[in-house]
Amino acid sequence: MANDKGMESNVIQSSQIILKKEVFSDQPRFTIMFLMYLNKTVGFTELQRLLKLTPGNLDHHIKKLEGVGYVIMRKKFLWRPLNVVEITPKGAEAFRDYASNLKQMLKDIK
Amino acid sequence: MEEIQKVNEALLIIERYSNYLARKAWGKTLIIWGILTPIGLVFYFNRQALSALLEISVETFTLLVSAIMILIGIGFTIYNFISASRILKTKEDQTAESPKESSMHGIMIAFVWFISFIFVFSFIPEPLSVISTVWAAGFAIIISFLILKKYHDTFPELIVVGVILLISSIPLVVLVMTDVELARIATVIIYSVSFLAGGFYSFTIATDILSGNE
Repeated sequence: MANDKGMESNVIQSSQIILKKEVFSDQPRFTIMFLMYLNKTVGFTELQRLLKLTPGNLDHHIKKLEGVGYVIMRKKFLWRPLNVVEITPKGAEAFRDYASNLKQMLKDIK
Repeated sequence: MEEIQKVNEALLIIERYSNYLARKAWGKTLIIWGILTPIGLVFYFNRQALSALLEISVETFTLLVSAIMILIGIGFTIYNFISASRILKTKEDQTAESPKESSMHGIMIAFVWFISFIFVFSFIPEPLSVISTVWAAGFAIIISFLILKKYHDTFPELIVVGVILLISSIPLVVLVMTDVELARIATVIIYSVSFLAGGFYSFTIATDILSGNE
């Protein structure tokens, strides 16, 4: 019984690692997550200009990240309505894990 | 190797974003001062009438208005740079300059501003007192630009503000001899225009940085 539970948690862990790898393997998605990990909220237009993507292309990446619950898109009202992308606690944790794995990988290369 | 390249590319974009936030913070700060300074000057030029209206002494009124304007301006400036510093902090960590050196330069800039205003208030004769603040601010801004350029980064928006202030003070000298009231209004407009021009120029630089065209 305990062995089964252990196997089950290993499977969940591996599938999470695969999911993270799949989500972060793409350059724009990795950069979006990195930026938001540091700044929490970034404007849609700012992201689009920074990454030199078309609105449709950026929307596709945001949707992918939204799909796994790493970011949310919301409207912010300043002197004009703005679309902003915000990292979720789940997204921050996933990125932190991914970054520490990457750090470990670089250490191992040394 | 692919992973390292990915991190490097992301870091370049993050650096660009942090530069963009810094420029935007400068732009917002200059614009808020461009709004506050003329408002403060309008209150200052009408201090006699307004203090009588509020039934307080002229000195108390001047002190109160100066304190409110300075508090709003400094409060907004601090808020602005703190909001932009979430990413800037990580960038600053990588630079060789210690916080001690950085605060030394801040003190140098504050000293230049203090000396400039003390000088004009003490030595410039009364008829020219209206425009003396323009000289003080123009001079202090250009020296601040030189200090920042030597120890930190180049902020051309400060040169824009300083040059507009100093150049426009020349016709002001002529104007103050003929019509003091008009010279006062012109001083308010010059302050506003110079700071707003610097602020909008800063926004233009920020947009270029964001798009990678700088």
